[in-house]
Amino acid sequence: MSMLEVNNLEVRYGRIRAIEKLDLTVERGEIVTLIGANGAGKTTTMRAIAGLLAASRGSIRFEDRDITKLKAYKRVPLGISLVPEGRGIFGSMTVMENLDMGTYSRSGKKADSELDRVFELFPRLAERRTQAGGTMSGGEQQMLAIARALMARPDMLLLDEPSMGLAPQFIRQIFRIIKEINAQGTTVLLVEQNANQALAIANHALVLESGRITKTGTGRELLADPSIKEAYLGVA
Amino acid sequence: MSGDWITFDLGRLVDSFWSTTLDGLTLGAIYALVALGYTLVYGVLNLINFAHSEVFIAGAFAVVFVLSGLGFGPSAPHMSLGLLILDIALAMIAAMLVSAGTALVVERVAYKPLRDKGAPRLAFLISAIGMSFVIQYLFFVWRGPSAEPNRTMYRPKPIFDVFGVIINSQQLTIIIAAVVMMVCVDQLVRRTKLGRGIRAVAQDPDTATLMGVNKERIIMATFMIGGALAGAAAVFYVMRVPAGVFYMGGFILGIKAFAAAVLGGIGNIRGALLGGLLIGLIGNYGATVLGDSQWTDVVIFVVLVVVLMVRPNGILGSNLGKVRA
Repeated sequence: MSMLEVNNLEVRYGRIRAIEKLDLTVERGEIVTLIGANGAGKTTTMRAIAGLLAASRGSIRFEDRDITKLKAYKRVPLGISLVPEGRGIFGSMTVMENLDMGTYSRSGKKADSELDRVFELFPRLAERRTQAGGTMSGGEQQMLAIARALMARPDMLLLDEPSMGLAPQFIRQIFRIIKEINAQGTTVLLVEQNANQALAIANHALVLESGRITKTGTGRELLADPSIKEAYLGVA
Repeated sequence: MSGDWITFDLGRLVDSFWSTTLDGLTLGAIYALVALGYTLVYGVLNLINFAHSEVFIAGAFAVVFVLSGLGFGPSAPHMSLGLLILDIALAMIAAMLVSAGTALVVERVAYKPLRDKGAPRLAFLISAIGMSFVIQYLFFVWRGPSAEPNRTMYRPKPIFDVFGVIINSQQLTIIIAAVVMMVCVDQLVRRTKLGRGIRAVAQDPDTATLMGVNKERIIMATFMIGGALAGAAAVFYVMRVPAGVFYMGGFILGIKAFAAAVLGGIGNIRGALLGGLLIGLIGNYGATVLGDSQWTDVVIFVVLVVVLMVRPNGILGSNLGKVRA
């Protein structure tokens, strides 16, 4: 049994089909990368798995449970956390308040161990507990967004373009941290335009084009694939 | 209309400054409680709930009915203080329940279906105005055009006298109760889990959902909190303006409460308190200086427009999402 099984998924915006016949499986403990051009349907796929968009066809199963019709806020306590594109930081809440929001669905339980864990992964956040989220740099906000998602103790972390708009040293750091989070036992589904590094850390990878999966393989296979190189890795 | 339809006499205000101020604060406290309902809903949904004035008047009708049932009439009853407090508490609970219930029905009937369809903002506005008319005319058909007979809870008694300023029991009750309620709401939004949910939905509904916040429940709770406060305001309104309970009574007060919310900064809880008190004061000062209470609303809205020209986002500006804990 796979951890996440997406079968024949279709999502529409009105009459426009954003993704169709999309199959995707993620095994427990893996890093799976989804690459594709702008508008290919990557964010749509992630939002559908998190429940922010409804599937018009197909099914989504998580840990052998059909969650296709489950409300988004009920998917969080099941162990699915999405770090959305654009990070979704609550700008006027402090770093600590943002992190607290991450524990919203686990009310009553102490979150000290999660807090220790994210401060270990992101020491910079520990220094900035009382800073308003909106006043931080893009890289710091991305770290906060990932840390906040980890506060919910997800079994599966969905990351939508975590490297977007970041300086190169931040990008390297983010990918290193994603590997670290995965090594600590969290399954990762990663959407990226930064295909090179995203494929390098992936166990499995899929290519999304115009709403359909056109290629699958291990991260290494896709890195070596000539057509991928040309289209996504900027190598002629 | 004689030649002195408008007079300008600062002396009148100087003579009665403290009593004018106290009465202004009393009215302002009522506006402020109603203003909170506008501000909370605006903060969470970016929507002016025009039916909030009817949420308020439904509570005022509930107060009148409960008081009638308890035997209150046009003149103040003879009863022990304990029993009086109990009766007023009953009226308040009834009003808060009726207003909160009305607010919830408005949300579910007029706004939720539009939200589910992703309707444009204008549709919500029309739906809000429509809902406002529907409730108004339900009361019109049911209770007729004239005001409900007065229900006097107690005759205001001078309580204490500070440097010649007499504060009466009614003013004291209303101002203190309203301020206590507003502080409670402020703390609720800043400190509780529900408050965190409200702030998160106000800032970014999608991300709030990704944190496990049930947005629909937060929206319902927000409408009900605003409604309950309007119900509490209705009790004070019946005390202060006993002849004001009729089908249009909510509209008139609602406009001023809305103005208060805008003046303080819509979406801002402390702004609603400030705006309400200011509107109450400005209206009373203006009416006193100009010599006729008919000027009250003119003065209020002139000041509102002038303030908005200087501070377009209201005095305290920011919205609910920006509230800091």
